[in-house]
Amino acid sequence: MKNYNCLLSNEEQFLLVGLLDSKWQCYGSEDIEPELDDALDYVFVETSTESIRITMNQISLDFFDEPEDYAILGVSPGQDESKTRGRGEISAKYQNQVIREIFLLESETRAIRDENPVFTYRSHDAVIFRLEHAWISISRSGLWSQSLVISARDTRDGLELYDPLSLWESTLECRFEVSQNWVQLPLAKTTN
Amino acid sequence: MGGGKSGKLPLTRTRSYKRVASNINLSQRTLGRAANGGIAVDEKTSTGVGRIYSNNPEKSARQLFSKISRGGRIVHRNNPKRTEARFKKATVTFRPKSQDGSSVVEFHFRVKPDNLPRSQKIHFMKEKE
Repeated sequence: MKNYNCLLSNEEQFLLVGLLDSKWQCYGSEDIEPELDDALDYVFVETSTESIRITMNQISLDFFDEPEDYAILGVSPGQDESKTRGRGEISAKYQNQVIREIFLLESETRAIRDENPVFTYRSHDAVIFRLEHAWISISRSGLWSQSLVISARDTRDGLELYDPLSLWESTLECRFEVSQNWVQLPLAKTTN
Repeated sequence: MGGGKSGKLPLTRTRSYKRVASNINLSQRTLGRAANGGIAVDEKTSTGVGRIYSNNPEKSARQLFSKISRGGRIVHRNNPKRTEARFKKATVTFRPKSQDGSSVVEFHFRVKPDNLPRSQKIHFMKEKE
């Protein structure tokens, strides 16, 4: 059986942990829909202390022996966002609320053909911020799509998150088992 | 529809995902309909990947992209490797060359449309002689 681990690296998680306890300022992207809920390629998040980019990156995986391009989530340090500010859209809703907790949405998909396991695919699919009085999630949209879906709610209910079950369609030959967990990133900042 | 042949339409005029669904349904009149509702899907892989064979794969891919992205806001990438058509809750992507060398058209819906899969990728391959 093949195993595919497409999880955020320690360095990427460390970038997220660095945002804990800072104040949310804004998010944005160069290509983002007017409702500010669907961005292409990346979303930048700016806080009172740091900024990061949550990105969609392409990777080649051979789940069924033929290589295919898939999109996976990534996190990178913030960049000069002046171009984004000039051409894109920015939301400053929830500005100055402290980031209390950060979670990763982790999925595991198992493919079983003729009762034999074919592969297991693990991925981090969304970053979820709990602010003082709001929840904001930035989630991959699909298997190949380089869109990121952003949702902001007063409670965690109703966040629009990646749903692998709706994308892996079981057939008579092959069935998929999917599980999802919220993984909380360390509460305290890690030391070097 | 305004906006000219290229360039961004005003953001407030982004069309609904239902437009893409309608465009795909129209395309299926000539391309046929797979068991899961998609286009040319390989039933074995279950991941919504399909293949269409053509004498001129890139041209055929462009034609399909043009048909199913009609009404969308075209995002001209600085990177010529990809063109995206943006709709409210849907995207259509054209890649002249994917990693295996074939041209690719993908569509993805954030909500499940009636009678269509949420997501699909179609490779355009050179017809075997």
